[in-house]
This record gives sequence, structure tokens and C-alpha cells, in this order.
Amino acid sequence: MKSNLAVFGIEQTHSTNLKARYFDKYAVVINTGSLIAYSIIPYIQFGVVIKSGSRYYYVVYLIATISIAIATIVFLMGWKYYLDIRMNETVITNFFPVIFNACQSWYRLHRTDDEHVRILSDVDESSHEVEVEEDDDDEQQFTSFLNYAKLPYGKYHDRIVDDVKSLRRAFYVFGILIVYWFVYNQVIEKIDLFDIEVFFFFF
Amino acid sequence: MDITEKNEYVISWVRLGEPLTIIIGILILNKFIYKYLEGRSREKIIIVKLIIGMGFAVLAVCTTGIIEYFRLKEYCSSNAKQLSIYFQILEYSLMGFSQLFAMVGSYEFSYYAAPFSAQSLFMSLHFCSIGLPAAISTFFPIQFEVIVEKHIVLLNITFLYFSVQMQRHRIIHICLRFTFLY
Repeated sequence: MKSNLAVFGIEQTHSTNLKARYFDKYAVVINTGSLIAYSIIPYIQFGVVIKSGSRYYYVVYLIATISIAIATIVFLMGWKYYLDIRMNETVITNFFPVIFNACQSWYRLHRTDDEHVRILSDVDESSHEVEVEEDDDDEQQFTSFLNYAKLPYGKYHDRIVDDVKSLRRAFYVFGILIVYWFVYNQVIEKIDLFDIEVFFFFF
Repeated sequence: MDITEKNEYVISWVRLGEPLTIIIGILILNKFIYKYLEGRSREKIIIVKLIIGMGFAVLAVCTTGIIEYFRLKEYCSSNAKQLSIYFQILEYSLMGFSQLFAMVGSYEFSYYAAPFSAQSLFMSLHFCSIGLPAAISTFFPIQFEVIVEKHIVLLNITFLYFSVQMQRHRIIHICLRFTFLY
């Protein structure tokens, strides 16, 4: 639900103005939901239902179920107006073939002719300066290695290889974000006092 | 009203600090800050956002540690004044500040920084990076969590340091731009 909704929402418009601040609006909407969930729902549960002494505990669950049913109906009502963007290709299917092809052509060139390699590395450095202005040295090495899969030497089009190259940056950023979400889980869902006592008991 | 019921009531209201901070923060940022950043490189802005978010996360986890430490101390000593639960609003709002930059930034990174053919992969990697830590901290035993918690500030600071190192010249440039507004 969460994973599809964000992407689905942003693909419903083609205007760049609306797309520019989309994720801010998305975060505001989601947090308005949790604002209601943390304020009104507990108030009804503890302040109204339990305080009055009634046994209808299920009222709160009923409210949540009804509201999500209404949301589903509203979503389905607009079914025929939604834009559907079809993907022609995906980088996943190209990922391993490109690396394999780069290895292949690198191995072939190294074995057959050293001059070729020298020319190739010269070409890579010059073309790389044009493509990416500010990159680290090791990143340059890796990406220039993938350049062996490009057309004169390998068998793939430039654009496909560049798409595969962009994955490296993604792994960096999402690797860092894993730690961030660890912290988030630790802060938001803190362990209870009891658990800390258990911990100190063992050590 | 019973005391336990009242406590649960308050606990869920303490959590309001997070969404409230995010909503108000985004409205303020959109109203006053973001319009000055139009025309600048989107990717730079996203990376700066992620770094600011991580800085707030470090602050939040430190605050949580300090508050939990004092709470534990109060809990162990019998005749102490009870620490107000409203102190927790502080850590939730700090986490809200960090969400405001890091969550929005990570969404934007996974959509805008991805080439067209890799957009779905970037999005799914993004949700992997959310799901994996949540799964680990839910499934693994409590002892593991406490051990991880001991080192997590260190880890986060290390990653923050490396990410800052990677982007150092860009950040200095952007900071200069902010200070002198040229």
C-alpha cells in the first residue's frame, strides 16, 4: 500500500510544477492521518468508551474499518481517470548482463592487445569528464570499468550502461538510510523499562 | 479514570509531537525556504536534506538515551519525584524534524535521482531500506537491540561523517551561498 501509493500519486500528473513539491504534500497528508490516529482514536477509546463504562470496545476498530472502506470506495470511483504509465524496460534485467559483458570485453582486450586498452582508458577519462563532473576516484574506476560494456567494445548502448552505473549511487544512499531507519525504530518504538532490567540482569 | 488508562491516553498523545512537527515544518519550509532554492541542482538539495535529517536523528537518539537514563534512575530509586512523561515530546519532535528532511529527501532521491528505467528499482530499494531495519529490530531478541542501541549513535555519526566527507566541497559551497546569498 505505502510503496505503491507514493509512486502512483506522482505519476498522475505530467506538469513539473505539481510534481516538484509532491513528496512534501504526501508527507503532510500521511502525517495528518497519524495525527488523527494518535489524538481522536485514543480519545474515543479511553476518554469516551471506557470512561462511560460501556463494553463496546470494538467501536474504535469499527471506526477505523469504516474509514478505510470509504477510502477504498473513493479510490475505486476514480478508476477510469487514472493515468497508466507503462514501463518499456527495466534495469534489473540488464544489470548482470552488462557487468558480465564488461568483464568479458575487458578480459578480451587485456589478452589480445595492450594498446587497445591504453586507447580505451584515454577515451574513458576524456568522456568521463564530460559526463560526470564531480565524482570520487574509486567511483570513476568502477564506472570506467563498466564502460567496457559500451558499444565499440561491448554490446550495450551507452544509456543502458549509464543506468546501471547510477545503481552504485543508490546503494550508497540506501545503505546509509538503513542506519537512519534503525535509529528511527529505536527512538519511536523504545524498549520498555522491563527489558532494560532484564538486560542488566544478564550482564 | 484509572491510572493505567490515563497513562495510555497520555502515551499516545505524546506521540503527536512527531506528526505535528512534520506538518508545521513542511508548511514553514515550503512557505519561506524552498522558494529561494528554485533553480538550484535538485540532487544537491536532496543530499543536503538527507544530511540535515541524519544530524537531527543523532540529536534525537542522544536525547532519548539521556531521558531513558534518568527515567531508569528514577525507577530504581524508590522515593523519587516522577519524571514527567511530557519530556518524551522533545525526542518525538526531534525525530519529526529529522523525518521532515530525511524521509522526504529519501522519497525524492528514489524518484528524481533515478533514471527512468531504474525508477521502480530505486523505489523498491528505498522500501527495503525501511523494511529491513524494522524487521531486524522486531524479530531479534531484546538483548541484541540493546547492544545495537549502544553502538548505533556511533554508527550513525560515522556514516554522517563519511557522507559529509563525500560531499564536502559541495556542502561548503552551499553553506557559503546560504551565508552570503550570492
